[in-house]
Amino acid sequence: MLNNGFLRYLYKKGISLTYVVISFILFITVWDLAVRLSGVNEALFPSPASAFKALLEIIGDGTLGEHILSSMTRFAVGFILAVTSAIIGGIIIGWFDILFKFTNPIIQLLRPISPIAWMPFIVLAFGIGDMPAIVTIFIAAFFPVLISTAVGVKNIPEIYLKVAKNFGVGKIEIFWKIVFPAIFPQITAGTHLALGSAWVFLVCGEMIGTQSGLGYLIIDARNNLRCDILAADIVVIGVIGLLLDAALKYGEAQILKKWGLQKE
Amino acid sequence: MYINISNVNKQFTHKGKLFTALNNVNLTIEKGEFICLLGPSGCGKSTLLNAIAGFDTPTSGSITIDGKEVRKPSTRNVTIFQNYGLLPWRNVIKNVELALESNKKLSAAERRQTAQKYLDLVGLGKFADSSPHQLSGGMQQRVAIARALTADPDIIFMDEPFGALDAITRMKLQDDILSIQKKERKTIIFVTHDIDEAVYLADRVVVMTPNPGMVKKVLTINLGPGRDRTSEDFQKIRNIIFETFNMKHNYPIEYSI
Repeated sequence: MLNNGFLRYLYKKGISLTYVVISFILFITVWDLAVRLSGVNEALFPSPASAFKALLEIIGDGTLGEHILSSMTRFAVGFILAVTSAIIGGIIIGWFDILFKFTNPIIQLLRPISPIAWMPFIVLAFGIGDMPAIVTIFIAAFFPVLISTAVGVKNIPEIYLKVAKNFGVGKIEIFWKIVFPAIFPQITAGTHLALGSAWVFLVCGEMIGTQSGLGYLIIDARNNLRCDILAADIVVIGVIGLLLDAALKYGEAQILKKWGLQKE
Repeated sequence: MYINISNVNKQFTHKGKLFTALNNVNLTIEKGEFICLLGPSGCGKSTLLNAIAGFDTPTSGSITIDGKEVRKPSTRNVTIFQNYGLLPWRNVIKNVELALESNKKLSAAERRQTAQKYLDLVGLGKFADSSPHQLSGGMQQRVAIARALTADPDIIFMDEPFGALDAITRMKLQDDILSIQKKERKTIIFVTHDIDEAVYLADRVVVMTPNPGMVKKVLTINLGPGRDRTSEDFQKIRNIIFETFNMKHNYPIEYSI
């Protein structure tokens, strides 16, 4: 998988597209040289050229499209469910201090556990098929959003609540008129964070019990000793991850701009 | 007697120590008066304002407005804060409209119309669609003033509203608030630590001192409208206030523990 952090760094530094292109060319060159100089059999360590050929092959016969579609569907379902429930949960535990005090220790305990560790239980509870991947994504995305939302609610500037009270904003109304928009930048930041880790775990989730998806394609390519397809798949996973990240980063920047909280 | 504050005390416990923010405060305010609560930080002027506005309840004593006990903030009385309190996710006109949203009888068009009227009044009609962060501090505070006026309140509370602004902008806004008060006939209670500001604006200045927070003196400013900051009478009143604060040093300071 490509290193998203590095690209984010490049973006931040405002380094132009030229550098990105050169960096990719460099990466492919090193990869190619490594294949040539190591003398390992092409079937085990495919060159960029054969990976590219394999990529064209799986695009051509339509398998890649199908796998991407089923991966993205699972990702969308798991991710949207996670973000929605984490926002609602985060607002509730952030608003009621006593709930936060009781739930925070549990959250801190559960948060560092890899979603993959739950896998046997997930399979027992939900069977195989789409569910394990969806549940894995859910777990991976849930905690970052939950925590950033709850912390956002706890830190809402008091002045917003005072203004709301002063102008007679109702007890329920205040959630969608004040609380939710006030913490929207934190929610977006949490969602951005969640997106990265959820995408990582999608691939793991799809390695178990599914018959489609980019994660399944890895297992399938390995079983068929098609390392060229494997390499092509890995590149595709990286590129989609990169695009998702860029899309969310763009969204985040727009929101920060609108809220007047532009990042430096 | 419109606002009646009688025997008001407010105590906090901070790190296990009892702290008296307000000590036996008595004050009456008439309708349409411009009152400045003046004093150094810790004198309880903001605490008193928050108590009259209903954001905070006194430990003992009573505060009534128009004969009714103050228990919680009311849409009849609007507070303007030092940090403006504008909602950054709403544009300027939407911020002003917030003042009318609790009135369900108004249509969206009526809301917009009233908001625009007061935005024009503070000279920001052109900025209706701007975001608050695109405006300077002085302009943001004007938006907050427009929002307060839109609610058509009986009383406007101002908690060091011009404290974050530069001196020139502050003087401009002081003139603006005076002409607005003349036009709209609101009762204004204005917290400040700036002696000149208090003398320039107020009908009466309530001088407060800390440790414990109490009213030291209530001065009626008989300078009329159109005050001249450099005039002799202005200086005389300033001096009286300076003396009020300096005198504090000649007496042993009382600590309440």
